[in-house]
Amino acid sequence: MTPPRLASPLTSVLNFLLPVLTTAALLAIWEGLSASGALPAEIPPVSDVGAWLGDNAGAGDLWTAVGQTLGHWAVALLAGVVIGTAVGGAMAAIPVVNELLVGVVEFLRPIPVVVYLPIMLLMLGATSEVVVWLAAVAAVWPMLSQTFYGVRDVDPVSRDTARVFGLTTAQRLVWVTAPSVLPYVSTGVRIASTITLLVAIAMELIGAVPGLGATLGTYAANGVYDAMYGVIVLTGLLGVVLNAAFERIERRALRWHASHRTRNA
Amino acid sequence: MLSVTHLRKTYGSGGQAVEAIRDLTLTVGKGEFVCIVGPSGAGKTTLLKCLCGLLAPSDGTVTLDGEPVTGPPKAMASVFQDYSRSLMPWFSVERNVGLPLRNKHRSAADRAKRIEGALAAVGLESFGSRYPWELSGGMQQRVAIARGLAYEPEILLLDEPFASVDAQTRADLEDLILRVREATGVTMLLVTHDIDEAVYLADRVVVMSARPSVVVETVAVDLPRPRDQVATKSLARFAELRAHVLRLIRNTADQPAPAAPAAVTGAAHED
Repeated sequence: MTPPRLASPLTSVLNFLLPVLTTAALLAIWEGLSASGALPAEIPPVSDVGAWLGDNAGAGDLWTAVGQTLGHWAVALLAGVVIGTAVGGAMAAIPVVNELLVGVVEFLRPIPVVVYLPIMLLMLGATSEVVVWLAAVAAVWPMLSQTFYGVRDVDPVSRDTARVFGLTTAQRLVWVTAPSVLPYVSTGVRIASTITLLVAIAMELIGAVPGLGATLGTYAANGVYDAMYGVIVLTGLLGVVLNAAFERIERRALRWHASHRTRNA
Repeated sequence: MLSVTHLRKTYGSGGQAVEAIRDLTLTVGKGEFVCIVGPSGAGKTTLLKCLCGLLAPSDGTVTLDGEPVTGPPKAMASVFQDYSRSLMPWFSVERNVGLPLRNKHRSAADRAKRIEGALAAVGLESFGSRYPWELSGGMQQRVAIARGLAYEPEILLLDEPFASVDAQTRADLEDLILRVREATGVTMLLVTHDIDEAVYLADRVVVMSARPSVVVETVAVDLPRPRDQVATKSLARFAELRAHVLRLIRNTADQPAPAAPAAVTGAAHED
């Protein structure tokens, strides 16, 4: 979604300014509607939300919740990436594994993880484990399919080259297969990261597990609407920041890839 | 010496079986430059894959210095037509050239020396730290050739190596290959559909028929060396050889495959 970089200073200013303008316009409309009384009391003016965020930027409680959510996110994403990549890779590379798992995977994949929540809450209580487990399950699927198609898509000429020059199985895996699959995996990680964050917050909210989700739920239940929207804004920002961080890492790791090559050749 | 005896390769089985190669027998002597030409659709790439141990022949044998080829031999290197896919875009030119050396040379200094030497042999000594995709097509194919040379093979297999570059680059690369061969004495087996190229480069030209392939004729090329793009191609003998090979290919391409030359040793391919 990064706008293409254009040469002229005017266009580069516009490239930066236009998305900001949209956001500013939306916020202005929100503020205007609140001021005119068109919005119900459950939607406070955006200035109130901003003020709450400003007042609470240094609040320990809020940052504890952010930390808890990020903790859930990190562990779940790591587990999902490891499991999804391993299973997807094995399914793509070993026909028997694919035959054994394809039915189960196709059955389980479309099931939204929230359906497991009640049983998990019964078994484990409203704990971090529940959030991490469910978010990890949600993260597995994009990793699994991205890795699967990545491994299937390794160029046969690269494969032949590696074999002709006598590379060992381990060398082929590290020097040929892994770099070929990396673009797919890194897209998978970005998708999985977003899904993991969404699921983690949703499970915290529904299951009242400490984290941004539960904080949001508490404010909503008590009618503290400026705080509730403040937390929503915060979750949105969290998603943007994480995505930007992954895009940055991807650009560095995949600078050889056609989509990231600089035009100074 | 590379020796191919009654090689047959069939893909699939039963009614859907496709016979790519019916019966090929040929030898490539040490230090020789042999070109294989055939009409498009002849099993040229299949043949090379059988020779370098990527494909198992359905019948017949491939031996390199008396050893049967069952997997990619250490004494053999390959240059593929599609350089952009054969070079790894995630590795620099140096690392691409050095890719196959890890298993041959333990010491990093040894490997660096060989990489440097191979890049110098193809005139790319100052491009080691670049990435393949930063280079032109012809330069990329030179990197692939350097990789083959760095492997220090006895025989280098080249699968239509110059088919994806422009005419001028192609002539340059042909001369580069001839110089490399002069300098290193490495045996060359080059597959091409370009008759001029085959006659210009080779000591012997093996003419293959269309599928199912057999050897139509092996033409000895008695042109003087060193060869020169202008002088050699102006020789009357060049024109004769070229016309002869062209005639062979046109004849085989026109004929329905089963009627292909009687030169084939008969019996074996009935079933």
